[in-house]
Amino acid sequence: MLITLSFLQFKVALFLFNSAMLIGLFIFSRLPLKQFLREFRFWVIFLSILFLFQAFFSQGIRLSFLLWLPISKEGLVLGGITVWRLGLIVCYATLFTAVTRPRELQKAIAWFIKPIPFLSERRVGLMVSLTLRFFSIILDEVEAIRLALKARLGDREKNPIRKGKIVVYPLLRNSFSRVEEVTFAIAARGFRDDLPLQLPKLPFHHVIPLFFLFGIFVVIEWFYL
Amino acid sequence: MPIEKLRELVFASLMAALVAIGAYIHVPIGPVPIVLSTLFVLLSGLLLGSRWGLASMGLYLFVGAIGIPVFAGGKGGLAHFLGPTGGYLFGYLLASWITGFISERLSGRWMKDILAVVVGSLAIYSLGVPWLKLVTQLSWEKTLIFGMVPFLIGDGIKSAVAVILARSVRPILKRQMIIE
Repeated sequence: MLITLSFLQFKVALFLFNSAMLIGLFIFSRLPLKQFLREFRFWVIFLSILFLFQAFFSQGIRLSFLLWLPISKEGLVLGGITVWRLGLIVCYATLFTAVTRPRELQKAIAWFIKPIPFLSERRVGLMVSLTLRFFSIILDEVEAIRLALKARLGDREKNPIRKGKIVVYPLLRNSFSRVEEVTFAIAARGFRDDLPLQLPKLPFHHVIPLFFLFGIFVVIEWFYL
Repeated sequence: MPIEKLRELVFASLMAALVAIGAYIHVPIGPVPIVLSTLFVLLSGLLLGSRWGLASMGLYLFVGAIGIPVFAGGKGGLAHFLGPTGGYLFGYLLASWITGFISERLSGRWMKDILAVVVGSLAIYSLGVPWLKLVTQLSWEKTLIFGMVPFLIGDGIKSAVAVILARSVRPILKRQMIIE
């Protein structure tokens, strides 16, 4: 949250500090670079398009050595800073997701929603498990429908809307019929959502780096004033 | 827990899973290929109503946040919330809620569903476009060209399909007592 808040401001010193910290954290995390780059590949395309968009369509003085190209110096600077900032946000989020176990993340979000009175952590937990279960079941269902469609030469259908309808309608029918089965199965097991959930407390040695980081951000802010 | 509430809970989880599956299904129409997530977002609002539709989308975002690959292109993680697509994802919450809200309250048959999905689709952009502008620092004009105009044809088709699907599966759900 502290890092996210720091990205709300366009300050080069904060970007430099965050970039250095990201490199340090990446080395410390011992994540394979290949895996990280694979995750980042999708964003590279988006960021490149965004940079070109800013460079070509921003008003300002044209570059003297590239007069034949409608690129302005201001556009390049703006595009560069925007892409740098977005790249940092995406890298931090990718790194955070890669080094945090889903169970830990689930606990963290349960900790956030605990003060909200009408949200039961147990109910949220059950719904997450059900969604993941349904996700794999429906994927199998899609494959079964696709094979059935192929067996009936349905894959030769050229109209994408008609093709989509052939897949989606049986998929919905089959999925909805499962709702009743699952509901009775859960009810039969006596599910209760009013039991309290025990969450582990934040260890003290995890709090120290947070204070340290907060201090650095305050110092950077103070230099800018 | 009452069986009716449990049934709605299971149905909301199923709709969240369908939105995730929709992110994997590409239909090549127009300049930008259509991903079926938004179709199921609108459908969740139409079938579940405002409250459970909102819960379903909240669940979908939660599952995506913990890193499960449920977002477009089989991606997951917090990067999608903090990056340029974050507004569209939060727009799913608003879209599902507003679609359900209109569908529950207005009288009339086809018209209320059509109005609900149109407003629902616009709700996604109402959060997505300003968020994209804020994150990318583009002008309003450029943001609209970059983040809204190419998707409008696809959204029109998805909205129409959502209404047709909702009307054809409602009798099945009523028969199974999943919805009233």
